[in-house]
Amino acid sequence: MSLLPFSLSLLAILIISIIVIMQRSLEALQVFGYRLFISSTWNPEIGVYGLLAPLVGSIVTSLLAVFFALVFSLPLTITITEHLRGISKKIVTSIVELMGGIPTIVYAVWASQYLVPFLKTFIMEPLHRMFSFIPLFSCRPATGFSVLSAGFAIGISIIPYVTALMIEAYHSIPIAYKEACYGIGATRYETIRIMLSLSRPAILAALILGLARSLGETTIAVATVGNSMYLSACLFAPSYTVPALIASQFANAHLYAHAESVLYTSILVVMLISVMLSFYASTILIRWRSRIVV
Amino acid sequence: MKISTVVVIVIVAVIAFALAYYAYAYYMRQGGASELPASNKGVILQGAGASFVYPQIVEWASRFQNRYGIQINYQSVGSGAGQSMFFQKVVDFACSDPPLSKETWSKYNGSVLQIPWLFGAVVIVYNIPELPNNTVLKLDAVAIARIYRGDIVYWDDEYIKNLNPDLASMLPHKEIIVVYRSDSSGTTQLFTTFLYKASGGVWPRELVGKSISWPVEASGRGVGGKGNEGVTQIVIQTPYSIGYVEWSYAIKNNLSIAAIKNAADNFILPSKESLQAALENAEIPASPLDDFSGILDSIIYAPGKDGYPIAGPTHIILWREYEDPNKAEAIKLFLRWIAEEGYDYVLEGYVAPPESVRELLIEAADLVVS
Repeated sequence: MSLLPFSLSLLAILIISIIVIMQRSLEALQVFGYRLFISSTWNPEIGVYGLLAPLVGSIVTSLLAVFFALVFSLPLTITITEHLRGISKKIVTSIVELMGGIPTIVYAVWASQYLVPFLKTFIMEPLHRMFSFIPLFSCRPATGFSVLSAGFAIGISIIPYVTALMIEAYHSIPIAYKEACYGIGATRYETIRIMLSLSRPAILAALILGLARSLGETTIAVATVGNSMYLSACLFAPSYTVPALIASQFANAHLYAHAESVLYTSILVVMLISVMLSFYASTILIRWRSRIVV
Repeated sequence: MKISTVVVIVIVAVIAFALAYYAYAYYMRQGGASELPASNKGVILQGAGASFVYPQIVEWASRFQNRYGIQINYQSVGSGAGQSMFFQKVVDFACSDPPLSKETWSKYNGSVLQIPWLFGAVVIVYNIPELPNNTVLKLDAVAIARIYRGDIVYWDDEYIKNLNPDLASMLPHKEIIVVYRSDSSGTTQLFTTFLYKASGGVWPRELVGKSISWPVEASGRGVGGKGNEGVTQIVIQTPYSIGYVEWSYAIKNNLSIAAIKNAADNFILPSKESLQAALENAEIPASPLDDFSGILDSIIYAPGKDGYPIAGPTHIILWREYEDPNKAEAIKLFLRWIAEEGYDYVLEGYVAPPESVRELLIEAADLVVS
């Protein structure tokens, strides 16, 4: 009984903060209405605000991050669970776990100093030269600070998280399935394919949770996305994300009418999206667990 | 022992060893243990605000503490956040690049003191690999305004060539990458005020402020950096870029600094002398209780043939009354110490204010009561 206040206070903090954020954003929603979400101008001096570029930027960056995380996490999961044994498995697992514990500022500094110039020279410029007729690659990469860089950097930072979720899902498939596969004469490759298709909903859930997490990533985004209120179909153009906007603008928002409230609105939108995504992912996981466990 | 424990222990041990080694080497370079400061009343002053003054306040605070034993904690959170914390009485004093707005000032009229206690310059930095180190690019407000509007696209634009006849053959036909501050900042305010005042209408009035919507963003050649360090880093990393930063960052990082045309049509590089020349015309109010919101206009692009045109003040904001008498005494002491001694320790990149400001500091020290 005596633990009850502590356990409930977290819930209370969450509810109170949601209420406060809603209250603070009400002002901006009343003043600007839907115009906040269809324009990309940010000029607090004359009281003009638009959140379209950061919102689109956030979503595109997070989708890219999840894509890159998938590209690296899936092979990593299979390697760890199927191919490695004994001491090498333990070393690789603990390195992945350690990566998850590294503060994001470390990724941010590394990404802005080394990853961005690397991507610009070896990925963006060749892609632009060869495929400039595709809108995604149509703009010349000016600085390297872009949606693609931010997506890649954030993707790397969420790999440990996504991998841990995938390994857990993989392990929770009863061993009987695997034995059955080998029992009917399936090769190792075929077994892995069957195991993967069994855990597909769990992998999807891991990716959605990763998406929710990369939506909120701030430090890396600010250092790599280019911080420009620019809306473009091209992945090499600088853009903005909502957390980067908040980090950049909150310090002086107090000096302007409505600026704080507009930033609270952007927090509200991101929070709603990530709460919905997390909720959806956990429903998938729960349904999958009840079905897979025999 | 588990293998993961071993990995963690090895990594931690390596990092700890390296840190200990560097700390020891640094300690030895500093000449071993220094004497402990004489402890005084143990008063702690809390301040918050502009990041612009942070290095200077740290310098002053450590000297002041060694002398009087009064500790000064300063949080570099930005001018706006500093003002907000000050009015909520979270901190004892604030530093703000812009002075209090006229409305705020009249709301608190008589109970708040402000002094423009330090001045700095905004410099235009560029990264053009083709230009040798001993050359200086010359720019005027119209050129910079047209670059930041996105009208001038290439470095070898006729307009830039005409300003730099000696460099005309070396300027490359490369797109200019335009770098600006993504966060709202006093630096941007100084920069855009200069563009508006000096460009003869090329830079419009509505694009003046701490955080604006940059026209060049629409071309995709614009990149925002968070803070002076963000802009500095992008300019260093990106060939053919241009940016604006506080002078001290350009010195520290050895960036190429452009000479800017002042109101007397001379191209001036920032220096201690050219900044002091710019401050000669500053219209500084006679009392710390006055409204300071017009001061910026008198310094930027001021007449005078040797003055550097983009300079501005940062203000310390204080209450006239403090509940704690010890705090009031400590603040009086600090203000007097700055006026009498502190300005001997001004760091590179900043410039001490004119004589009249020292009188303002003394006057403010007399006005503070508990």
